[in-house]
Amino acid sequence: MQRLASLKFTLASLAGLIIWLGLGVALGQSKLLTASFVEMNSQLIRDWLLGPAWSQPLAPLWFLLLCVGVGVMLLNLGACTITRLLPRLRSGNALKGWLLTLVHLVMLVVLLGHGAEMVLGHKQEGLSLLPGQETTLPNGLTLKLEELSFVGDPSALNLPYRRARWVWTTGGFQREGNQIRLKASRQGRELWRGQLRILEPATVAGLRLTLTDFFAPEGEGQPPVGVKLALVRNPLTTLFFVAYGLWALLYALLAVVTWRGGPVRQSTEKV
Amino acid sequence: MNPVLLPWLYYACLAVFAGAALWAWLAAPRAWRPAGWFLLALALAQALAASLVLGRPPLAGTYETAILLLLWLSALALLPCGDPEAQRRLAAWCWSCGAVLLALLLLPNGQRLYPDWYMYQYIWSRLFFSLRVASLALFLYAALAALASWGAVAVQRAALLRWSRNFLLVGTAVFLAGEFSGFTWRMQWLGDYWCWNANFLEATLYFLLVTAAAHLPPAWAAKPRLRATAQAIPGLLMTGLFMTHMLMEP
Repeated sequence: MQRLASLKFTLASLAGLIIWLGLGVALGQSKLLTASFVEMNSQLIRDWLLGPAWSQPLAPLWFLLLCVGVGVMLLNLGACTITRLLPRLRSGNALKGWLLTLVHLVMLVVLLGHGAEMVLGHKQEGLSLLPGQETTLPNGLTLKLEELSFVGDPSALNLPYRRARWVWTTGGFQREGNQIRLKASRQGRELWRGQLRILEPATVAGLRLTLTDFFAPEGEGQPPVGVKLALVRNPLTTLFFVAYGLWALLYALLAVVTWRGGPVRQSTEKV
Repeated sequence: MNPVLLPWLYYACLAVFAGAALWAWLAAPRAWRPAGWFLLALALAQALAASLVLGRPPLAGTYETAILLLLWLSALALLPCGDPEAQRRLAAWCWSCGAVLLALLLLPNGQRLYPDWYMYQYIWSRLFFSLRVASLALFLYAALAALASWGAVAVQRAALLRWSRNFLLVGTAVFLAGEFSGFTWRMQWLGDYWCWNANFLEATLYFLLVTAAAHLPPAWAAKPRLRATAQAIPGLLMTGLFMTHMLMEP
């Protein structure tokens, strides 16, 4: 247990994760993982791992080893909490001890919430709909795009993110005017009908409907503009956000307490 | 606001920061302080001029980030770290770093202001960009304090390393607040707070680098040079990566 809780082990697990994430950054930028990242983002990681992931095995292998790295770090975090942080609460600077312990424990909640986001609920990004078109989700919910209002030049749609920033300026993109009317029903019974704009999602039957983008369909006879939607349901999102906000706050408090505490013995220092 | 004024302010900042850095390296303690206030005023003037030209606060891109980093560094350089000679050393590092950041803008695309993307009107997007640059500045300042401890006498070294450690902590709090804002922004915009891509992985990597610097084994933390290097790496690497990405943007 002592060895598992040692700072050398902490540093080794952090170094391993840093190297592994660095590899992910490099692979992502060199396009080796780009297609897999798109798939990972469009659905729950659980569904991705049980389905399309293995057509490009590099991505799931990288991801699973990342999970192993996080698991090792969590093991160290647990051991460290039991053998170092909790005993420290009864000695020395009690407030700092509590804050240090809480920072570590809340980080655990953040990681659990983040992990749950990958396996619980439902996620579907990039669902394309044209005006008048409808689609039925696996849970039986039917979405129909009843109306679409787009103020602007559709030929400037479909630009990549970085180029779009130069075109869709405050004056060039009418966020208030660009909107859709969507109807959600189940077995013919209307559950919800309302407007969606970018940055203004709605929640229907526990599912968050988000209008993420407008696009110009390719091909003859198509309407000039369609929309992309994201449909996400996660029971632990609120917990994640509350824990994350608390985590930032605890770090700020720890900084204040450390600052007020003055010089700290270097040999026992651990922030 | 006439945009022509901005390049003039830029060249004035470049010359004055480089000169002040040289002066701080050579001058006697305390003599550098009035210069510090002048530099802060100049950096503030540049940031205000950029805000007026843009019609919004500087947020992202090489030029806007450098303007903000310069403002942060020139303000932080004036904070008393507990030892006058240590503070002079740190100010010299801050102004030298400011001059290097400004010199980087001489590269192609360096002095390009970003357009007023409609997302910049959204409060969570503004908070994300502002807090990300603020945390970068704090990590960079912590790195410079650690570097300033190299070659300093024991008392100054201890003061600078402690100062650096404190700013790593403050930077982490600001960084996490920035990530919280970014998550909220992405959730409202794209339906989910997380995205698997190089940018998100790199942000996680930044956090782990700072965490690693704060978890040195006691025997390593007792070695000042090793500790200084560990505390300097996050800020230097983050700033290097951040600026490189933006300079390479088409």
